[in-house]
Amino acid sequence: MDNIVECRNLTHYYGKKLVYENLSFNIRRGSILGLLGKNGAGKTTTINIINGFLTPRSGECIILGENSRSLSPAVKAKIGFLIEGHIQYSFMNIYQIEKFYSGFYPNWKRDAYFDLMSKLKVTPKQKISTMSCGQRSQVALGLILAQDPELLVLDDFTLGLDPGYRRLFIDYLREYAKSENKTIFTTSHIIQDMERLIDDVMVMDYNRVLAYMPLEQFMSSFRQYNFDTTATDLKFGKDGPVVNHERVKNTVELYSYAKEEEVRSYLDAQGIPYQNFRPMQMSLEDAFIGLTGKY
Amino acid sequence: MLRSIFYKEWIKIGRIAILLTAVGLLLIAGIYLTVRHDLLLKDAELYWYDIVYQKMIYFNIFKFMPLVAGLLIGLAQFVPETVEKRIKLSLHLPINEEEVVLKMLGIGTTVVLTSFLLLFGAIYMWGLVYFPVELMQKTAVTVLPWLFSGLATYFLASFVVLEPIWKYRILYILTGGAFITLFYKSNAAGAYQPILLPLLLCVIMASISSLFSIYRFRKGEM
Repeated sequence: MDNIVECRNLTHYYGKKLVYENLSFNIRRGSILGLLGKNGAGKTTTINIINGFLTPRSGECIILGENSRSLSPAVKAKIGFLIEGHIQYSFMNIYQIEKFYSGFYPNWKRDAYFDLMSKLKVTPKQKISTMSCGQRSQVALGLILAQDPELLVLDDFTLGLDPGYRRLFIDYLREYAKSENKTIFTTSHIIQDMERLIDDVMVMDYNRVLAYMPLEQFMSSFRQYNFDTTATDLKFGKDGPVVNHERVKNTVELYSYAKEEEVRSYLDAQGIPYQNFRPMQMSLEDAFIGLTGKY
Repeated sequence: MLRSIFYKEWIKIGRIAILLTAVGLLLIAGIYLTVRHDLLLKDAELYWYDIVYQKMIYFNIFKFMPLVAGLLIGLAQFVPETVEKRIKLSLHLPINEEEVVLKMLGIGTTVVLTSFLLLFGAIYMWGLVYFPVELMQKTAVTVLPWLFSGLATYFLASFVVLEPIWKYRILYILTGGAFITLFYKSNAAGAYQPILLPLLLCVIMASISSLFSIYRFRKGEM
C-alpha cells in the first residue's frame, strides 16, 4: 500500500526549545492516523510542517510526492485543511463562503456542502461569526467535503465541540473517509471518541514519540494493572516492563506492554509486596493517560 | 480564482471604501462651499492674494483624509485575515503563496486608487469652477503627496498586520510612521513638485513589503 505522507527525521526547535528530534512517520493511503499528545507536545507544529507553513530545522515531509516546503497548487488542491477551532472566514455567511471556495476547486461538490448545511438551523444571511462552535465545525467540515481532497489534515477538530457534535463530526468523517478511500491525519488532545475514528495512533510527549502503531495493536498490547501495596517508596527501573505508574494512597495503577505473569514476576523479583493484583479494562483515553502520565 | 479573491476582498473592504469615498466627497463639497462663500461674501482679492502669493492651501482640511482612508482600508482588509491566524486559510488555497497575497494587495490597491481617483477628480474639476487651470495644477501637485501617503499607509498597514510577531509590528509602526511624515513636511502649496517621482518610487517599494511578512510567517515566526 502506498504512502500519502512520508515524514523523515523531523527535528524542530522554537528558539532553543526542542520540540522533537528525528520524528519519522508515514500515512498509508486510505488510513486514518491520529496524533495524540498533551498541549505543547508538538501536534500543531507537525500540522504546520505538513502544510508547508513551517520549515523544520532538519528532516522533510513528502506529501503526495512533493516536499511540504514547496507544495504546488495542484497538490494543495488535494489537501483539505481544518484549522484548530474550526477557523474559517467568519465575516462571511454560508453562501458567501461556498461561492468563494468553489472558484478554486474544479471538482467542487456543491451538493455535499449544502446537504450538511441543510441540517444546521442557521438563517441564510447569518454570519459564521455568530454561529455556535458546533455549527462552525459543520461549515468547516462541509467545505472540506465539497473540496473532495485526497488527504484531510485536521488540527484538533474536537476543540470546543459538545459531545453530540463531536460524535456527529467523527461518524460523518469516518463514514466519508472509508467509503471514498480518503486519508486523514488528525491531531487531538481530547482523546474521547478518537477510538471510533482512527486506524493508527501516534502518541507524543514532550520531545519524543511514546507509541506509534495500529490502534488495535496498541489497545491489545498496552495494559493497565492495579494492585494494593504497603511499600512506601515505589521505584521502577527503565529497563523493566513498567512504562508508567500512578499511585493513589496504597493503590497503584501500573502501565505496561507486558503480560500479567511477566509483571507479577517482575514485582516479585523487585521485592515489592502486593495484593489484589488485577488487570483493568482501558479506553483509549485511559491508555493515553497511562502512557503520558497525569501531569 | 481572481474573481473569488476579489469577491472575498470586496466583502471585507467594499462598504468601508464606499463610506470613506462618500466622506471624502462631502469634505470636498464642504471645501468648495467655503471657497464660494469666501469669494462671494468676503474679500475676493485678498483670498486670491493668499492663494497665489502666500501659497495658502484652501483645502488643507483634506490633508489627512487619504491617510485615514488608506489606514482603514488596510486594516479592514488584513485584520480579518490575521485574527486567529486565518492567513493560513489563504496560504493553503491552491495557488502560490506569494501570488495570493499579491492578488489581495492588488485588489486592495485598485479599490484605494479608485477612491483616490474619484476624490482627486472631484477636487480638481470642482476647483475649475472657481480657479484657473494653472492654479488647479498647483492644487493637483499639492494633493498628490497626500494621496501617495494614503497609498503608502495602506501598504504599510498590510505589512504591519501580516507581521506575525507584536514586537516587530511595533518596530514597523514606528519606522512606518516616520516614513509617512515625509509626505507632510511642508505646508506650502506645490512644495513637493520636485520630488513627486522619488516619493512615488518609495510608495512602490512599500507595496511589496507585505511579502516579507508572509516570508516570516512561512519561516515559522508565529
